[in-house]
Order: sequence, then structure tokens, then C-alpha cells
Amino acid sequence: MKKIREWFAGYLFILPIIIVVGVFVIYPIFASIYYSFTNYNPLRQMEYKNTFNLQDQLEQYLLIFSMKDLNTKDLLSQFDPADFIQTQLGIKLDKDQRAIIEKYFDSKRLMEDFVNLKTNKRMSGSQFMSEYMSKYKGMFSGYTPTWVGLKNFYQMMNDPLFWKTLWNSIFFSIIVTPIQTFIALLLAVAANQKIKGIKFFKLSFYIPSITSSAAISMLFMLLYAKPGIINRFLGFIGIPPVDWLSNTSTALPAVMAMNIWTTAGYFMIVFLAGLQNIPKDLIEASELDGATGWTRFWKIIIPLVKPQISYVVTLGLIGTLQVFDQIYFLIQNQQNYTTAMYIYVNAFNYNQMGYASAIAVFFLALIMALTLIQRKVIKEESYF
Amino acid sequence: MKSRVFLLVIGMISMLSIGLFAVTVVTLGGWVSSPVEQQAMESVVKAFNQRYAGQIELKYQPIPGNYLVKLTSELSAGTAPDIFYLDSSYAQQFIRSGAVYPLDYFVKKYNFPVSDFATSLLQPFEYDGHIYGFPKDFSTLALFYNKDIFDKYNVPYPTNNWTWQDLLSAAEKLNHPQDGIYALSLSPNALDRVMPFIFQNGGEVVNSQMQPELNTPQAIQAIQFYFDLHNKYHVAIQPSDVGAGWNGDAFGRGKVAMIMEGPWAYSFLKETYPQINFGMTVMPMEKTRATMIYTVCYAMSRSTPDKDAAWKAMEFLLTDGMKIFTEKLGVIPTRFSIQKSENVFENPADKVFVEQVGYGHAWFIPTSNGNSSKLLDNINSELYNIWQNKVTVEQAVDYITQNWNNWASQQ
Repeated sequence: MKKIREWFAGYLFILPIIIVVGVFVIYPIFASIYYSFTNYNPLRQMEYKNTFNLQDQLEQYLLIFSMKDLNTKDLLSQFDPADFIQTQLGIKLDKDQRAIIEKYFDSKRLMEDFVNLKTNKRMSGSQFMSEYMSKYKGMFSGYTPTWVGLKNFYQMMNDPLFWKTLWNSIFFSIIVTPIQTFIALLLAVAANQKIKGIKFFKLSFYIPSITSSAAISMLFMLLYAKPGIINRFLGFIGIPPVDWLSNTSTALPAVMAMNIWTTAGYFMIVFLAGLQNIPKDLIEASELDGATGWTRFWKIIIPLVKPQISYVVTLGLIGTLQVFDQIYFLIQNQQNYTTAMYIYVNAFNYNQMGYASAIAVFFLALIMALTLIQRKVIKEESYF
Repeated sequence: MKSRVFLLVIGMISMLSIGLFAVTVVTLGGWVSSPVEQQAMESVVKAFNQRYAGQIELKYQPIPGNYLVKLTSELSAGTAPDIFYLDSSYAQQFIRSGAVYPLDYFVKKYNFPVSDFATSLLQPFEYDGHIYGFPKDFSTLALFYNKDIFDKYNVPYPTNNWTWQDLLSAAEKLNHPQDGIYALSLSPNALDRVMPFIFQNGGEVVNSQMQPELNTPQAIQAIQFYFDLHNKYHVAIQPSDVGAGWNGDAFGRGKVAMIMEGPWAYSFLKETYPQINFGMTVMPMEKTRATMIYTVCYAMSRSTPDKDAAWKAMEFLLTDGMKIFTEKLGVIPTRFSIQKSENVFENPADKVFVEQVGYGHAWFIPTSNGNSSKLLDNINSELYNIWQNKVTVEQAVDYITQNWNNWASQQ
């Protein structure tokens, strides 16, 4: 009895986070996988849910200004159910649906109800269809995105911009991850020294990683501008000014440099922890044997922080492959987009939720595969 | 104790009676491009609420941030404002999706004077014989010139009869990069800024079957002229070359002699860079005259519960509201009657923009399914390749023409 109570209490405690993660992370992942096989248009979500007063809608469609002296026969001849549903109620119909409506929609009863003032009530599109369709009511109960199978994936394979953005993401990741790992390790070794004022340096290395990316992006937009400071400094060594962020050849490398600057500090902390684990006597022994700092770095420190290196590289790869906010702020030309940005643009600017979901699903599979490969490779040398 | 119960009952009755006398609430949303605009709209809303006090309450709830994305999410969830803005370049996307309510019934019922609007301004908001929105204001493009720079290099001011050659000769005399002065600031990746030149040369962008017509000699010549100003004659820069965010900003900093912008630039310069001594004239011509017309409409959401009340609000916004708004903000009213009453043809801020309406082309690209965002993004990206001299105009036009239908065909 006590055990069940303990379980119950335990689950109750973690229930909030389960709900939050379930609703905002797990459900969207499965929903995306489903939508990648459809041509989901989010603007059509409310199609069958919008409520209306049926009498008002009929009056407006048939352009009737007074409900007196109405003739059912005349109205029936003017009334096209499919057109009414599409234009007046805003519910889009495909060919099959239109054919079924032609056959099974009870226009006569609708017109009779209208003339007899029985339609003065509020209802939703799905209720309306259920009321006046003699058969196939289920077909009109709500907006279901059309299943298109693998069409989105075929479109993806044939989309040159998809491949360009995928390459941009991979390029971004392959260059930034090793550099940021190496610099993080260097910073950690530097910050590990017992000299005065080292705390200030630790802080200043770490601060970029906790500053808002929006603020940093604004800052770098000014630094990278054609009349900006970076070009001034380059001018001293004779390099002509470059519009780093507008020029499509330099935009991505510029953002990559900024990214390294912002995230190296974060991983420095991981390496600092790792450096604490290196036994002091090893260092002292190497000093006695006359090893220089550089040799110590390569022959002692690096082998002993291998677990941290693997962790930082894994996180680095995953993070850089998914980079979005800095691209969103600073990159204007679509040739320099990364995959995450391309997904966003397709979903929200072009209303192609199905296509965006397909790209997202592909990307999910890609990152999962890369992570699994990496775990297999590193496992052999794991010191955990 | 009894008095407490008594107070509670009184409290509940008064709360309930507020509910009994509830007015219909209509929400108005849109973007805000400046604090002045927000204040102008607030005074319009205030005037409406005074007129319809007790019957309809209009609530102004502007949508901050990325308008297109926010509006799409709100329409999908049914929480969009009852009346919202739609720009002519993407209105069709929303109209075709069914999220916008057709207004024909209200127009007929309340005898709304459709003829008081120019047809070119209504076109982007019509579909399949129905009208889905009425334009609230409009802008065209004009040629702005910095009088001080012109005086400095002894170049006569632009006239109403300038041709492309006049523009080029003046630019060559005005361009002094060593002094930090450039002749022109152009948008390097905006189809709508290249389009006036295409029309001026007698070309078209799309034909009546909505197929691209950019592969004609007239269109290619026009595009070539535009980009040659940067690539061949070196008299034009893009705003970021001088660290500016847009052409108006580059002009305001005194770095360029000429830009082609709309009335928003006029208010911007007067407010932010009042020391700039500038003039405005009509766009240069070649075989014919042309400029772009930018316009935004008020549209009604299909999820609006009380559409009649929403129409009354919209009607006000398009009559008295338009008078208040255009006077306070200096934008141009879309109704002939209000243009007359506000004397826009005499107002120096409006004159040069209004008189070009006759040969203005509305800024939207018709496609068979109404969607043009992906198409425009891809075209603009390719135009930027021309600007960077990575492709020739012919190559770019071929690429655009080949992929046009692919980019334009979405769900």
C-alpha cells in the first residue's frame, strides 16, 4: 500500500513536466511526421469550425434584402450548393467532394427551411453539412489535410534550394564544431591557471554564451557593416572593405565566426571541469621531466579530457546543425540559409506546412543517424 | 454579516448588468510602422467609438513583429482580429485560402460607393468576381534628389521629362566616391524596384496567362539598365554599402544624390533628417511612363462573429477614418472624393505621388493559385546574383523563366 502511494506521489510530482514535454515536444514530433505526408495548409484549420448564422449567409449569398414573398422554386434555381459552400462559407472543395455534393446535398430542404424562417440559427460548417447532406456526412466533418504520400519528399529531393541549405548546415557544422571545441579547450587551459584576476577572464570568456542572441546579432550587424570597425582594422593591413553580411560569399563565414565566439565560452566550462580531474602529480611529474607547456597540452591534457571532447563535439554538432536564431537575424539572402531557417520559411512564409514537415523529418533522421554513428565511434575510446 | 451579504448581492447584480448591456466588440489589427501611425489609428478608433458609443466598440490591437507569420497563426487558430490589413503583394494568398470574408453583400446593402476607388487599387483584392478588401491608402514611387549635392557639382535638377539617358548623365556627373558621395542608392534585390523600368521600356513581367514575359528584349534591356548603374557605370550603390538599412537612410545621411522611394520616405526624412534639402519629381521615362503602386486593404476575417458590426467599423475606417488617418500621417487617400476634399493635388508632400497614379502598376504578381511569396523570394535572390555580377542578366532571366511555374505552384 505504501509503495503504491509512493509511486502515485512520484508520478504526481513529475506530471507537470511530463505534460509540458508531451504537449510541446513529443506531440509536435509525431504531428510533424504525420503532416510530412500531407499538404497541410494551416489557414484552412478553421474552415469547418467557423460559426455563422445560416439565414444571414443565405441572405447574403442570394442577395436577399427582405424575407417577405420568397418563392422556394425561384431560389432553388439560383442556388448552387457547391458554390455556396465554397464562396460564402469559405470551405474549399475538391472535385470528388463537389461531385458528392451535387448528388446528395438536399438543396430543396434547405430552401424550404430558409423560406419558412427555420434557418435563423448559429451553426458551424460541419454541423451544416451534417444537417443537409443525405449521405456521406462524414466526409465533411472537418478539415483533414489531403494525404499526398511521398510527394513532399520527392519535391524535397528535386529542390536545389533544399540541397543548398543542407550543404550550408553541414558546412557550418563541420567548420564550427572543431574550431569551437579547440578554442574552448584553449580557453579552459588558460582560465585554469592560478594567476591573479583569473576570475575576470573566466567571466569574460563565458558571458557571450549567456547573452541573448538577438543582442549579439545586433552588435555584430554593426561590426560587420561596410563602414564598421572590422573593416577599419582590416584596412590597416591593406584589405579593402567587405560588406560581410550582404555579400553572399562571406555572409555564412561571418555568422560562423560569430557563433564560435558565442559558444566557445559555454563549452569552456565543460573543459574546466574536465581539467580538474587531471591528477596534479601527473602535471608535476611532467614538469620535473622537463616537458614544455605545449607538449603537456598535447600529450597529457588532451588524452585525459577525451570524454569531455566527445561530449562537446556531440553537442556542438547537434547545436550547429540546428542553428536558427543567428541566421534569422543576420542572413537576408536565401542562398545562405541553413536547413532550420529553410524549414521556418517554408512553414510560415510560404504556408507549406507539409513540405516543411518533410524537411524537418528528414533532418531529424539525419541528426539521429549522425549521433548514433558518433556514439559508436567514440564508445571504443570512452573513458567513462 | 447581513450587510456583507447585501453588498455581495449588489456587486453581483451590477456585474451581471454590465453583461446585459454588453456592446458588440470589433477588433482591428494591423502592423505599426511608426509611433505617429499608431497615434493616428488610435484617434480614428476613438472617433468611431464616440459615434457608435453603446452599440459597437472598436478595439485597436496592432500586431507586433513579423506580421505575415503572426497573422497566419492567428487566422489558423481563429483568433485573428475582425479587421486586419493585407498588403497587395500577398493578399491573394489569404483570399484564396478562405480566411477572408467577401464583402459584396454589404456593399450592395449599404450602397457603398465602389466607384470612388480607382480600379487599379481594387484589383489586388478581387477574386472570382468578389471583392475581399478595400484599400486604405496607397503610395507610388518618385525620384528624390538632394539639392545640395546637385548644386555642389553644378548639375541641373531633374525635370518631369527626364529619360534614362538624362538620369545616367546626371549620375555620372554626381558620382564622387572619393568624396564619399554616390549618385544613386538602389535596392539590389527587389523585383518591385526593377519593375518600373521594365514597364517604362514597354515590357511586361507576366502576360494574361500569368506566364513570365521577362525573356523579351524590352524587359532584358530594362533589367540590364538597372543593374548596369551598379555593375557597369558604377554610379549606384546599395544601402548597406554606406551602413544604411534602406535607401531612405542612405539618402538621409547625405551619402547619395538620388533615390526612388515612396511617401514614407518623405515623412521619414522630414522627421529624422530635417537638414537634408531635397526635392521630388516623377520617375524618369523611356518609351512610356510607369511607376509602382503600393497599397494595403482592410479585410474582414471569416471567423468574425458579428459581420454586420465589423462592416460598420470598416465603412467608418474607409470614410471618416480615412480622412483622419491620411491627414495625420500624410499618406494618400484611395477615394477620389477624399483626395479632392484634402486637396492632395496641391499638397507638395502628396502631389508628385498622386499624379503618377494614372500610369502606376499595382504591386502584385498574379499566379494561378494566388501564392507568390516563394516565387518572389527566389526571383529576388536571383536578382541579387546579377547585382553581385555572378550571373548575366540573360542567364538570370532564363533561370527565372524556367523555374517560374515551379516556384509559383504551391498548395
